[in-house]
Amino acid sequence: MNNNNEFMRIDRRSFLAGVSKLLGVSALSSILPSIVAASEVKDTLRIAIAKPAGDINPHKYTGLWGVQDLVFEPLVKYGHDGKIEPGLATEWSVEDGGRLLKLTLRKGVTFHDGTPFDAAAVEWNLKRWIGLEANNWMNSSRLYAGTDIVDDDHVNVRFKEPVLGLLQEFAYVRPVRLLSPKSVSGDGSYKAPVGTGPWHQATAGNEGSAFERFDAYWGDKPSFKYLEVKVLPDSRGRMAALRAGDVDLIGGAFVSPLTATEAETLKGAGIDVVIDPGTTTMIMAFNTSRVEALRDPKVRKAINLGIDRAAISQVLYRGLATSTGNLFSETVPYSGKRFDVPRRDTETAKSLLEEAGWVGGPVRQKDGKDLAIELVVSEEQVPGSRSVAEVIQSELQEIGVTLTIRSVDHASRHSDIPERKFDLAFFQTFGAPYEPFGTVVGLFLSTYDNGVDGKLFIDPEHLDPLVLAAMSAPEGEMEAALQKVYDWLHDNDAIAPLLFVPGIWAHAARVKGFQSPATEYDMPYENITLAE
Amino acid sequence: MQPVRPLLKAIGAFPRSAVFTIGAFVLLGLLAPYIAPHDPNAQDLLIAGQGPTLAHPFGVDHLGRDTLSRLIVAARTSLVGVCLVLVCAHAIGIAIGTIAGYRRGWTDELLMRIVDVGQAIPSLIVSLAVIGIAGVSYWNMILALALAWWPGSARISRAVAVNTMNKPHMEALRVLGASPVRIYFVHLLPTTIGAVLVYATADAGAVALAIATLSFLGLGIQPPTPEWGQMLVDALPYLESDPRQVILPGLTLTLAVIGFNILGEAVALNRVPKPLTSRMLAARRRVTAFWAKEARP
Amino acid sequence: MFAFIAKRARNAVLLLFLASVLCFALVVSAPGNVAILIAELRTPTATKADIAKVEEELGLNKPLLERYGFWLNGAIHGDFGISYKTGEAVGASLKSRLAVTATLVAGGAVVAFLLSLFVGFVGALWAHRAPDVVTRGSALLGASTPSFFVGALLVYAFSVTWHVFPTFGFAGPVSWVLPWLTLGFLPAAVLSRVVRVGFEEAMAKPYVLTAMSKGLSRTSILVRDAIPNIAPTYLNALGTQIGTMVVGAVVVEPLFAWQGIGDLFLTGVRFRDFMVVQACLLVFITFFIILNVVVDICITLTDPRLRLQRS
Repeated sequence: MNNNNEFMRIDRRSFLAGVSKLLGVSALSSILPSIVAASEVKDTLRIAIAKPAGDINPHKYTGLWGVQDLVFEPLVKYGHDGKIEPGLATEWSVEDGGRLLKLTLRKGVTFHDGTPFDAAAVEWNLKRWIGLEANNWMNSSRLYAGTDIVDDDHVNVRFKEPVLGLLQEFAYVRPVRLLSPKSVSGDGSYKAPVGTGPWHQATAGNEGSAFERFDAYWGDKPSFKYLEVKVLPDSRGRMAALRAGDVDLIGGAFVSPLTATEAETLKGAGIDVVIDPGTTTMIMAFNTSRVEALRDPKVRKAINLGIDRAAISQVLYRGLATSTGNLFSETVPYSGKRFDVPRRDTETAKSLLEEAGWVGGPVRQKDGKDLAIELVVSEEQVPGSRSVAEVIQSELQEIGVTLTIRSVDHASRHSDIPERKFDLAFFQTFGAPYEPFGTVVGLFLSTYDNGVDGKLFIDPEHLDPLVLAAMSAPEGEMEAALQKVYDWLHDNDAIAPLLFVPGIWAHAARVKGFQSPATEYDMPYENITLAE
Repeated sequence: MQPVRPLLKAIGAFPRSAVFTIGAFVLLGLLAPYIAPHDPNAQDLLIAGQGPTLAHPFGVDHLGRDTLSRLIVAARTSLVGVCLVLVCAHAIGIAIGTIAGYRRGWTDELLMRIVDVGQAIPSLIVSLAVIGIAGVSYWNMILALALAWWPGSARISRAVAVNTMNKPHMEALRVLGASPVRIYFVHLLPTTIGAVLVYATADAGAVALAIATLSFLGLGIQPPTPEWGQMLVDALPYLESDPRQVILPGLTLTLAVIGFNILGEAVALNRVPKPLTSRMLAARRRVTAFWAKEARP
Repeated sequence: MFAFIAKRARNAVLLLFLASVLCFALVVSAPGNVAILIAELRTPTATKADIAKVEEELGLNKPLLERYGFWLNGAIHGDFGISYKTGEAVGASLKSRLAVTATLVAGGAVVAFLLSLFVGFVGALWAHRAPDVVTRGSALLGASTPSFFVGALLVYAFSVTWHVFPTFGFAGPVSWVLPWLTLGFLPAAVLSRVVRVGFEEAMAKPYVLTAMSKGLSRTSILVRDAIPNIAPTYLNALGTQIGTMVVGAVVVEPLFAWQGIGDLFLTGVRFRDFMVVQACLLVFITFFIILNVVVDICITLTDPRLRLQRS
């Protein structure tokens, strides 16, 4: 534009010629075969994740659990079947009636940056989360009293009162895992993910993160050198990628969810699918404070009996999920005695509704009001729940209950459920390692604020005392006290447990020795070897 | 009856294939409850995923619902949705277009600049943004699509209105002392509506596809209401094990849209008669042509 | 010529201003309290006091005009606030994603350009014979098939079955091919119709008769005389289709796990992340307004009649 006349002289011919040259060149360059740097695919395990790992600061609640698990380690680990296993602490003991935790630290462990792991590092890490207001949801943090360094390898943590589920809490992914004290900036703010785990982060971005094996790792070193997590938000895309050999592993509740139908398709295509019974339960909640009708236990029981659990797990979960009448699966510690799985019985359900005063048809009425209830569904929160809702809708129609489905997004669920703006809603228990108290306290104790998760059922008069009793029961009486909670929920039909959500994973043929993780919050890389 | 006559005349000149597909679509939509063999929402989990049988000629879906009935009722969902969107969009568009064309001057200038902004953004982007702000629900979807489609209608309405206002008989009316209300409602508005209706039919395919796309993204019509886009999403997990479930709704959607696309092309190529001048046609064909006023000599 | 461009630029700025007001109004009119969302992002168990603090901090309790000025000033400097979902700066994520979407749309445009010219030529050279009918039919089918469906089929064929292209990712030209094809398919179908119809109209003109009488072949007449004549119409349609492709990016990017602006926008819509929706909308509008100006100038440059008239 510096020369006025020159510019004015641009005519059609030269303009068209220029444009076509430009387009031609760009077209050519795209057709030319390019040499893509053949990354060391052979020595890399590639795992699909549904969303970017985010900020994986172990003391914050933002990152993706599975990715945090790669880099950061806990003092004690949560093993299969709820067994507490040694992690960065080799030995531990709970003394003084549960008020004192004595830890013996593992020797010869270093963080990725070479900082030695010792009692000072443990104390530094504890200070970053324990006792802070934001972590009050954890008993160990709320009741924290102080830390004493005995020597380099021994630390004592003191509490004001006995702490329920103390060791489980210390096995959580966040905020308890350990960060290198040297990795932070001058003012103490988090800078980089430097832990003691077998993987240290090489790159991270919106497309995924790459990890390299930490060769000075204290434990069993992985047999392959690289691990990549690749962001694939679309589940069909993930399946295609696995089948085309672009990723090696997909699945898990939080890593890259797979539905039962998808698992079946993959199986049909000759892909290895691994099903784990899982530790979470899918439950339908009744909101008695919003709907008059649901205050009557008979109506709740009728709804419970109107649902065909067997058909849901057979058809929608392809027989991979077990239907249940229990709050917890047997894989959860203190899960209580087994109740019978409610079987669909429309006749009993109908007569229960008649007894409760809901009569007529096709939609039952009482005092001129229809028995119409709204079910809030968030497919993002509980994958597969929309189809379950559609089935329940049609089944309840048969006993004269009109159900409307309200599909909401993630954000609306996070505001509507805690504000109790629902009649019926699907919940999932937290699963290991948070059980049983994570769910019993978090989802049932009315006085306890658990933020966006909301409450499954509240009854300050009857249920709260039982929960509180279980929380403060000494070790020996805990099981009986918990059973009282379970019994009350069951006898009053306070909740409608539907099924145990299976943990589904699928992996490429080159992945050998795959084993489902102990909890859905862990990444299952541990026993894997790569063939070829 | 003024608006109806040009429409009927136009239908006579429509491409025959378009008349057939659109006719079938509208008929299915209108008569859906009477011709659907089954309740589209009645489930039978025992036969979920079953292929075509005598009772279910197109088979059933993953929850055991009759596919044929769902396809037919989905036509109604689509038809109602498309009509609602077009009525809302054209109501806004015609109101703004005729006011601009009648008043001219700064009102025209201001309204047309707003239309320019509206036309600058593709409809799907606008509707997604509106849904992103207002939340997911049926009425939000209708509102979002209407907000995305009105600028096009406003621009055409204005062109028609300006043209009508310049006709000698309008001048005569004014001289004879007809009130502005009479001129606007009796003479200007009906003529404009008649002309714009033809364009509305051509837009229907795009709106139907938009509804399906929004439902596909989980932001449109909510279950259990049968809708083609929604049926496609529900069936996609079975793409390999049972492609029938995917292909049937996909094909139906494509057919309906093809009908409207043929019609749209015919309208754009001036094969469908309209009470419009060729200059306005050119304006219509240049969808992105801003500043139509300046482009004129 | 310059006066013409200046006038366009002035109008574009005016439109941008109007658009920014609309964008701002859209978010202000949003239901629900933004402060609650941000407070919950910081601490999962936010109290009323926390929410009030956030309101104070972000100036959500100030008068509207002041908030608009504050927001516009930020937006001009690339500061679009923070996402309510991730807590990241929206401006930074936009910047990092721009190149991805640009690659996608540019590639899609090239595909659409080449494919449409090829199909249009075939149609024109064999007018009303088998190749024309076939291309017309497939173009109609292409223009009526949703792109998510096209993408799924392409992935299934080229990646899962034949292992030619990767299923996802943004890693070099090989991984770009499928998204480009998916995105360019529909515009190519539409553009090929423009080419085909344009050629038919051009070939009916008297100058073609003259050229034919001079003994020129059909092909050379198409290239020498018809192309320049359909160029303005074609460029206009191409401009429109580039717009369509930006919309298509919203659907195609998630299919191939590309982290572009379309993906950002869709996630924002899903999670009702107002700041992201607002920022993306503004970027889109800016792009479309500039695109329109560019197309307009291109048309003027390719059409001698218009150029004369506008100079």
